[in-house]
Amino acid sequence: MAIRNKNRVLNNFAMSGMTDIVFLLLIFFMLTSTLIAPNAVKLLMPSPGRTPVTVESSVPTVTVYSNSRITVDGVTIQYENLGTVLDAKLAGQAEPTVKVVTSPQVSVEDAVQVMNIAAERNYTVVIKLL
Amino acid sequence: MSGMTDIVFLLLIFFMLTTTLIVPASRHVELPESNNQTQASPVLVLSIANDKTVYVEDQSYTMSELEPVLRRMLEPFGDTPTIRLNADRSLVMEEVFAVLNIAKRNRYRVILGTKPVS
Repeated sequence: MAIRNKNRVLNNFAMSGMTDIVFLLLIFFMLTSTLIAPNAVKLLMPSPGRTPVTVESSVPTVTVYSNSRITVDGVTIQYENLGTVLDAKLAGQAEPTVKVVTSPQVSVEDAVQVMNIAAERNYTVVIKLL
Repeated sequence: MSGMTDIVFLLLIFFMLTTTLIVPASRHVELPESNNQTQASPVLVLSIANDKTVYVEDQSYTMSELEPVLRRMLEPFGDTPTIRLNADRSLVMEEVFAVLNIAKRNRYRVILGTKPVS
């Protein structure tokens, strides 16, 4: 009886397909772990008692009013100058912190704009309601 | 030919990821713009729409119902879970602080969701 096995074992093993899949998975995980840092602003609220008063006095207070008026430590300034004013006040500080005080009727957009200026410069932003 | 196909697929996947995943879905709100990114990974998304309706994972609540709901949902996540607050850009800060006060009482960390500057 001539029984012949039609299935033949291939001697050559193709690795390129597996390499493709491995590279795809590698890139997928690289992207999911790094690029997906979401766009967001960290919101910190002041915790009473934890920060000594002496340190707090060196923290500039940016106040945003509902008519888009911005003051830094009580002095009214233009939005465009906020960055330079903060830079001047916080120059040389090890842990620069900005306190952003907003009036209750300020829109989220206006508040975020101010927080952006500080966050862009890697200052810690603490927010508080007026 | 297969080499080119590989590159095309890689580019396709790259662009799919960079365009969609970086702007997290926020159906009810128009987010404020900011290029600031944070590494914190939120366990829950909370949205406040323009009409002051609060959405927790697409379920709508009023501000007064929010605290018990958050407590129940965040219980499994340990001591200081992070929540992402997607507040509409035209909303007033008073509403944001209402959520922040709840977060402060319950020791939640909050990040304010934004979208990249266009």
